Amino acid sequence: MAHLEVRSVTKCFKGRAGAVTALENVNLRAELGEFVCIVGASGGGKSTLLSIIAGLTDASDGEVLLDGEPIDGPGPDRGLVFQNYSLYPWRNVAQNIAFGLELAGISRQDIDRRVEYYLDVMDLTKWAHVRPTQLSGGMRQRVAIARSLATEPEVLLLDEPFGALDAHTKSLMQDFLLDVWRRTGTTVLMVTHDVEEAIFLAQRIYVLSSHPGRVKQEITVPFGPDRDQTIRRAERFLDLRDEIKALLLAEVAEV
Amino acid sequence: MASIPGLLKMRKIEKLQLPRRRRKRSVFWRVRDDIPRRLELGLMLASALMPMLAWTLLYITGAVNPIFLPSPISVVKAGWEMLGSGVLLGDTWASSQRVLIGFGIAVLISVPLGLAMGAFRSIRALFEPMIGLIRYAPATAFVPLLLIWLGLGEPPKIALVVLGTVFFNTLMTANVVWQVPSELIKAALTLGAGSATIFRKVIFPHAVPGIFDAMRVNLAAAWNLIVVSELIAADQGLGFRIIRAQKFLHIDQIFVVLVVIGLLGVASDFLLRALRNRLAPWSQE
Repeated sequence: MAHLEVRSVTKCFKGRAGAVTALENVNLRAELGEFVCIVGASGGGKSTLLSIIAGLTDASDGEVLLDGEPIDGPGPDRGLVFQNYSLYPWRNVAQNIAFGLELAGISRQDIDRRVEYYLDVMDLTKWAHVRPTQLSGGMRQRVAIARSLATEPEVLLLDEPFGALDAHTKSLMQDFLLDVWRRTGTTVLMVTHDVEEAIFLAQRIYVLSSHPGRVKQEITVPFGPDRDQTIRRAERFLDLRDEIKALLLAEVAEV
Repeated sequence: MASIPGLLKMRKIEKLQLPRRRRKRSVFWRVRDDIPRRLELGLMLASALMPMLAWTLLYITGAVNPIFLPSPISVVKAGWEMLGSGVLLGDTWASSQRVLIGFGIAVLISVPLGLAMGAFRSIRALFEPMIGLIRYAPATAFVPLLLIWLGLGEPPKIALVVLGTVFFNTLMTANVVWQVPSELIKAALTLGAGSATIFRKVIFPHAVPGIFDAMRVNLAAAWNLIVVSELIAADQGLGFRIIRAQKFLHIDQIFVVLVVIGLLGVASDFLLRALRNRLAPWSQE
């Protein structure tokens, strides 16, 4: 049994111009502790899929199972990180990370201990008492990831978390995320349109077609978890990149 | 690899010839840009002094009959006398009290209602059409009605302030809540928050500065309305003082009251802004 399973999920939106099928019969899974990426062109229903898994959006058909149990609405077992900063501007970094823990109703002492731990993991200790508006984009996303990780979700859902960052910061954040994933062993499901990012991070990749969104191909990435930026120059990396890019470009041509 | 259709079919187009102009960059007309600090201060000072200057000039040149336009000095004198006799303080207190009570009631109704309308579609559907309709009825048109219904004492004056501010403040508060970014709400949902928690820990804190900004706008309206209500039926208050001065052609006293109302408005706005910045220091960055 897969840890997370998306079973024949379909999503239709009824708009003024008639119904639009954003997702059609999507099936995918993530094993415990696995890092899975979903790549697809922009506007291809990737975010909708993540939103359905998070429980924020209802699927028109199909279901999402977590350890075999169908999910019903959002919950801290599936932490979601958005592309745009969703930090609370009136809370400082430590208070933002503490938010989910406070909602869980655990003791102040325990909250402080855990916040301290994630500040350390995310290399944010120095910024604990700073407000999010004073942080750079990369740091804000680190806070957002820390806030989601703090409640120890079964699955960490990332919706283009580095999409708004510059290339340099993005690369640093990828190293960072890989490291955090290795250390915490959290199951990660990440949506991105950046093919290289997907290969660099994921163990498995789902290529999503657009209009409507369907799983076009499932690809196992031939690199172990202990990888670093040097794999980007490996032939297997480049071949895989070209293969996925070709799949995506075929999508564009079909429009 | 598939090619992108259309890319090869691109036709040529002649080069666009735009006149090359070197603009001299203006110091004064810069959209949203900073201007030199000294210029800024100078303009602000000029803005504050302009009415005084125009007034003095009008008086000195004798363009207006002194009976209708008193000199700045005679106004200061009149103000001093009114302060000494205690009428000015009495009137100011009477009007302030009415504004405080009237606007206080309006805030007590409009802020919770606006918050609820902004957070829940159901409450919004229930109240928005009604309020949208009523708010276009000019509050001052209710004065005769209020006098008939509530008599001549304090109630009609306070009611006018409530009536004239409560609907706008409600809609403005609701608008502030609608502007809470949905990511903040969604993030809270995925962290395990329910509706009540989201209201308390996300919507409310995010709305605080906006609520105060709405109050600042509507408090100015409250000052307007209280003076109008006192013009008609009162035995104390700044509006009453204006009517009284008019009867005895004490134009200088009217000017004193106008200045006092202006100062009260600025002071109350300053207080609300200070309170806003105190309660939501994060919003001014």
